[in-house]
Amino acid sequence: MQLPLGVEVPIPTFEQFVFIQVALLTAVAALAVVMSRNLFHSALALTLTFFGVAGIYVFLEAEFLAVSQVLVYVGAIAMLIAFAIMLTRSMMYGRTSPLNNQWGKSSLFALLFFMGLLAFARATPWPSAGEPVVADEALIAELGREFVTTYVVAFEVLGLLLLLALVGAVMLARDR
Amino acid sequence: MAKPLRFCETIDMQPREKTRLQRVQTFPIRNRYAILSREFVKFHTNGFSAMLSQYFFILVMSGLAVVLPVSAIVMGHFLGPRRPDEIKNDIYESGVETIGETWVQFRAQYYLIGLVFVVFDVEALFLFPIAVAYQQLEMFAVFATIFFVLLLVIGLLYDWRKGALEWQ
Amino acid sequence: MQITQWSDVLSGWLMGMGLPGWAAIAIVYGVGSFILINYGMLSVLLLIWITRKAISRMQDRIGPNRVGKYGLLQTVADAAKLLSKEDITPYQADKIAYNLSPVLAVSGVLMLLAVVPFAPGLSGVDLNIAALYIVALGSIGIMAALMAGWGSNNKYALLAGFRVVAQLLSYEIPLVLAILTVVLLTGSMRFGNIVEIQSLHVAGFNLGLGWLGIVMPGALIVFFISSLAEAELTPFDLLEAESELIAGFHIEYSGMKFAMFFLAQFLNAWILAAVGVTLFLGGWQGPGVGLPVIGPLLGLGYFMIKVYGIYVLQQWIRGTFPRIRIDQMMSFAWKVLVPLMIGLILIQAIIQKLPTPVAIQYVLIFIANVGVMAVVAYVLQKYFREEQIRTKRSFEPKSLIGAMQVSDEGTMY
Repeated sequence: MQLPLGVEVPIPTFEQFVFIQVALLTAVAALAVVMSRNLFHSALALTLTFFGVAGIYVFLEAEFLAVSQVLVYVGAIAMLIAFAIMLTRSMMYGRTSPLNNQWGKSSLFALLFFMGLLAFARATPWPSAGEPVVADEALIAELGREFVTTYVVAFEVLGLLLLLALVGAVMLARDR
Repeated sequence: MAKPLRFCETIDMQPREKTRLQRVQTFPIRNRYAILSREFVKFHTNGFSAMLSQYFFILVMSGLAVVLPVSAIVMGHFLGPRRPDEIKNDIYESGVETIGETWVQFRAQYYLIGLVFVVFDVEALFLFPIAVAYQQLEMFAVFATIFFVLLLVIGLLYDWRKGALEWQ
Repeated sequence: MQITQWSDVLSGWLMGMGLPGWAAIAIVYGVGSFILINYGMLSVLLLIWITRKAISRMQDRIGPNRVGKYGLLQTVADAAKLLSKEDITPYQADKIAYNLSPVLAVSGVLMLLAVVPFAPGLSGVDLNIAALYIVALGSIGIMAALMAGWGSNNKYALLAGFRVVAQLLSYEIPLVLAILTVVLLTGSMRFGNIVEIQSLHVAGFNLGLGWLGIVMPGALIVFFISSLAEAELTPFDLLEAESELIAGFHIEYSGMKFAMFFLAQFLNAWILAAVGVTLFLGGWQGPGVGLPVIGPLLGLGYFMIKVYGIYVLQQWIRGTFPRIRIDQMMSFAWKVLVPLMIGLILIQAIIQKLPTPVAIQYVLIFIANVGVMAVVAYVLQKYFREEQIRTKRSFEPKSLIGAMQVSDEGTMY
């Protein structure tokens, strides 16, 4: 497929076509998070972004990661964000401008950061998928076994972190 | 080290599959039942793996699951009368006139429940793959899992003692 | 007799007609999900009829009996009526959240139908992570409740929306932990596998009675209670007590949008019953499902009988139980069900690593379940007895007690 400026792009397969749709949805939703004037609408758009990211995980055949993404981010984090919006009175009436007086500088830095990421992505020798991954239950079992054998220290530290979160929640959110 | 690939190429199908696909595409359909075979279908779906095709079903279904209720609502919108007036469109708070803003500030209690929920949600999520692998785990791994759960039990007991689980 | 094979046959045929592969697959999947979704939406008509008949019998009424035979067409007439009602948008509503919410509520529930195994080989998809998929997509319904509450510009709706979210979040944890016990025992999150494991072969014949609910009745009961709460049924329907309060977060909805919430609620109860049957009551397993031709049909029959049976049980509870207070509801989730499930999981994890044959492990798990339930029942009974005395004391006026004591001594006159 020939694009203007002489750029040659291969015709996408159907899988790539669906992937592009999902990626576009994620990007547009992420943009809506930043651009929306109503804070609650930003939270809704963020939820859509989380779904899009889950879709990208599915394309990587990481279904457990995808379902975790939906379970934790859509099911819990989005709720927490909505609760947090309701808790801060000044934010509820929304209609705030998404721009402040530093938007020029920040967009410049964002652009630079994006260029850096792009250069990095192009320079990285991505491992080409050798044999297609056999994604079945054995893979999830393997993941679970790794949690409590190879990465057992990280796993227990995670448990400690969750314990701290429980303790901190009481400190943070007690009505007085 | 494999040859560096562009992003678009990494999700392309394998060369091996490509050649097989081309062979199938020129498949002369003499036997009319050949098209009913699994092989035929597999090589005509542009390299969708079995798992991706499962999630493609989910994608199609989610599309329909949005479209059908929307069409029902739109149909109701056009079939029903449209006679809005001041009182009908007012908000219903048991007949009492609304005072002040709707979006009032809420108590921190909800946030606390949300935080505790996140912690237990993540805990259960990590336990699921371990539960799948549980039959083949050694004793050390079992103790690690039980220790992980006990940490959370301590947290729950702490919150209980501090009265965080009371609904005021 | 697998639907995947059916889809292969159909898509193969379509490709033979000259369609490209992806289009054929899309059409076949579209047809499959269209059937599933329409089954879901139309079966609600039957579900509402069952509910009304069952509850009216419990209340010594006849229930709908005019439209159609046994009033079967009553819900159809109601649906037609709702279709012709005015679509009112309240003043100053948040349009996006208000209009999106009923659609999300329904589609979140309909999506759950994709993984329900109806009969041997008859399910939308047999995902590797079906058990988590059910829980994860449940969060769409929570989001919808929050959006409805926020979007309606109504204080009651917003308050109810927040309380519903708190309720659903709290009861999701015991629900997930109850599912975890099944995964721990079967070592699989795939509904297809979980149902297969619940067969019971005696002399080469599949009796189909190896139900996990028999091995772990404790987890089954916790799952059932939390599914009642997740479906917002009595005793946990205090947020939309139709007979006492305004209807909860969907107070400002009318016409088809209201119907969508109604549909989502009934279908959610049915699907939670179906998931419970799949996990604990053998799914489509039953005597004779291994037979070559009539096996799948029998399986479908068993599945439907079990699911509708559980559904009627839910409605029975709805017709007979009183509502509980919100503080009781939250305490029950966090102080009874969650510790109970964590205890059960720990005990089960230890039992499964004992060096004994699997059959003995199952017996031990059964004993542990019954024992833990008995302990919990004992503690609760003791607590409620104390609570009863406490509330009685706090409700009796002090002066009256004093007066009665005086009268006992006979110095009143």
